[in-house]
Amino acid sequence: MFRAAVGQATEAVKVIYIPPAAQEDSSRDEIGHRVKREIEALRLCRSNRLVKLGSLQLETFSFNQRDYLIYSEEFLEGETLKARITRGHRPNQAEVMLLARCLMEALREIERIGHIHRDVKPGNIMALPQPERPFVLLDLGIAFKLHGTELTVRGGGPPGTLLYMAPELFRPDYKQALDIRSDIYSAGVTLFEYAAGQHPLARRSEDIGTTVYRILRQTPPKLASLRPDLQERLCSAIDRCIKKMPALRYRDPQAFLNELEGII
Amino acid sequence: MNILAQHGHQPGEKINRGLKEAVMNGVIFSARYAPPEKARTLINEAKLMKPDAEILLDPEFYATPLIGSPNCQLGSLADWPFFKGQKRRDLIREKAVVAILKEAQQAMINLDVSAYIAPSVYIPQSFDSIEGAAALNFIERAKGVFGKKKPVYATLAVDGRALLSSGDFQAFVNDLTSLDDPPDGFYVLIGGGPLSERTDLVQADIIDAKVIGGWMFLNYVLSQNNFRVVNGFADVLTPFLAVAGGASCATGWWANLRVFSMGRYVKTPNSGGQTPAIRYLSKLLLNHIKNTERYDYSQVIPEIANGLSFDAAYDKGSPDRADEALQTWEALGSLASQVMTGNIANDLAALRDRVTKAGEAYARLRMFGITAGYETTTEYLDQLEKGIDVFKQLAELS
Repeated sequence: MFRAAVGQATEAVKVIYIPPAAQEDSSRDEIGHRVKREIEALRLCRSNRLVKLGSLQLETFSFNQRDYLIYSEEFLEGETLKARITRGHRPNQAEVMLLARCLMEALREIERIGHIHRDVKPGNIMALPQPERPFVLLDLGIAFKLHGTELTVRGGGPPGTLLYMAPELFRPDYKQALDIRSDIYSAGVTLFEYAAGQHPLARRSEDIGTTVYRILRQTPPKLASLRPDLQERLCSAIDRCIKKMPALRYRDPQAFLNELEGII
Repeated sequence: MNILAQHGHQPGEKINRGLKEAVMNGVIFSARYAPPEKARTLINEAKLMKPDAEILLDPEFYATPLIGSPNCQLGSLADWPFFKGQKRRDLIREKAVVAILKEAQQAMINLDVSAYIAPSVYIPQSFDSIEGAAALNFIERAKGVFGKKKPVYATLAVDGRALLSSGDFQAFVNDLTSLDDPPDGFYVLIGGGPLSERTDLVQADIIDAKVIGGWMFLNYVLSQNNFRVVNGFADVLTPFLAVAGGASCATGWWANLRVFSMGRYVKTPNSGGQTPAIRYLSKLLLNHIKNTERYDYSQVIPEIANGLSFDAAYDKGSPDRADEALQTWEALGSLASQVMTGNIANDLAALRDRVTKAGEAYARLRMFGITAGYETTTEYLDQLEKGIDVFKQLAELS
């Protein structure tokens, strides 16, 4: 992604390289379809909790005998949650509530257009110095249209970022279990990590197998035990998002937002 | 938490007295024991007794597979227009299911019920079955057909064995909680009980910890998803289901109105035998004991008597069937209210404490040479306690 002047505006220009290994028609088409799906999903979304499309339409071009796709999104001047967590930022109750509200409003919009995001994580959330737009969810690149297209797969496994993937996505029949509650799980892990400064289950220098085992089997600590200064009810709401069983999480983003309404 | 009467054979004045004397909060009338006109009369009478009573009617559609079976006893069910045999494969077809729901809605539309119980099928062994798919089909379409004028509770009638396969059970619950057009609540029946009302059942016949914990979990997960959960045939499990999130629990006066079984629709060889002894529900023992036992045991442990208002009929020595039913409802309501504080961790601890105290009371009775039913009772109490652990694990509370 590049910061670039497009016409009169500064935009984030996304250039997607199509590697030689993907020159076969099917792989090439697959990459093209993914990008088109992201653009189509962004075009349908009306919430400013999600990144918006820029003015550069999707195009294919070749340079030095290599093929690329190019399009633009709005340029967001800010800091990712991942960067904030890394530098030890400790949000207060109001900030955690604000992030929770923005994130769930973004998911509610994604649900409205019949998609799920599938890659909610701190690296895909931008904190902006704008009171009306404090947090924005990025990257719908692996968003999936429920009851619509086939899933995009990368290497045959479920798409997403392992540390933030809901337990049901590790099942061989995960396609049948996909619904917005998988995104609510990822949002819950993100909120937990942002509030506590640590991932609820993964530990540094741990092998992937152990992490996956923890995601599938281990009960995370209660957020209130790590952040006793936050309201118990807020902590419990975030804890509920990361239950292993989808039915134990909030049914949809609106249910979580309703819970937030009750927290002063 | 509402205590409801489970309507059945020989209701007499039990229900109206229970409502009038406020030992319970409502009734689940049975289509089997009341044809349409009688149901209307019974419902109106109940409303007169207690205008704010929770009044429901179980359409008992799940008994249709027994139509034509030898020795089936379906009572008035044949008088209800929706109660017709269906081909099993048709029950997973939307058109057929909507037609059944529409007939049931039309049959109930003029009844002054608090909410409609929408019909569904019985899931006999596994959620991963045609019946499981058919049940989801009924549940998903119920609200759309019954409309928004009154709350709609979908029937979820399941054999206890289906709860043993946790993978299929959890997958079913995941589906149940993500329906596009969900009902307002569920009427939950867990099968596995006695075949006949003549059975001298003492405790709930569901003695498997996985079934007890699974039933609690159903109440928890459905209530967490803002569904109202009404449990039929709950009996001694009432406080357990209430703590888990159940809104109402129904219990009747015969053994087969305390624990659900599909066998209740089939005449058994011992039908017509001796009428069971009148019993007393001891809160301390979590058990129905005979009146004579109540007297004997109380000499050793006075707390075995509940000290509630309907103890009076027993103290006089001549309780009748109505007294027995009223005493049961009163004791269940008292038990539930004592263990419910709104904090589930505390409530589960209180339930466990209740089970422990029941075990200690039985151990004390044994020290005094009273050993009747000791083995079965302690086994049952053991399963109750393990049921709490199963529930905590399923609900991710441990």
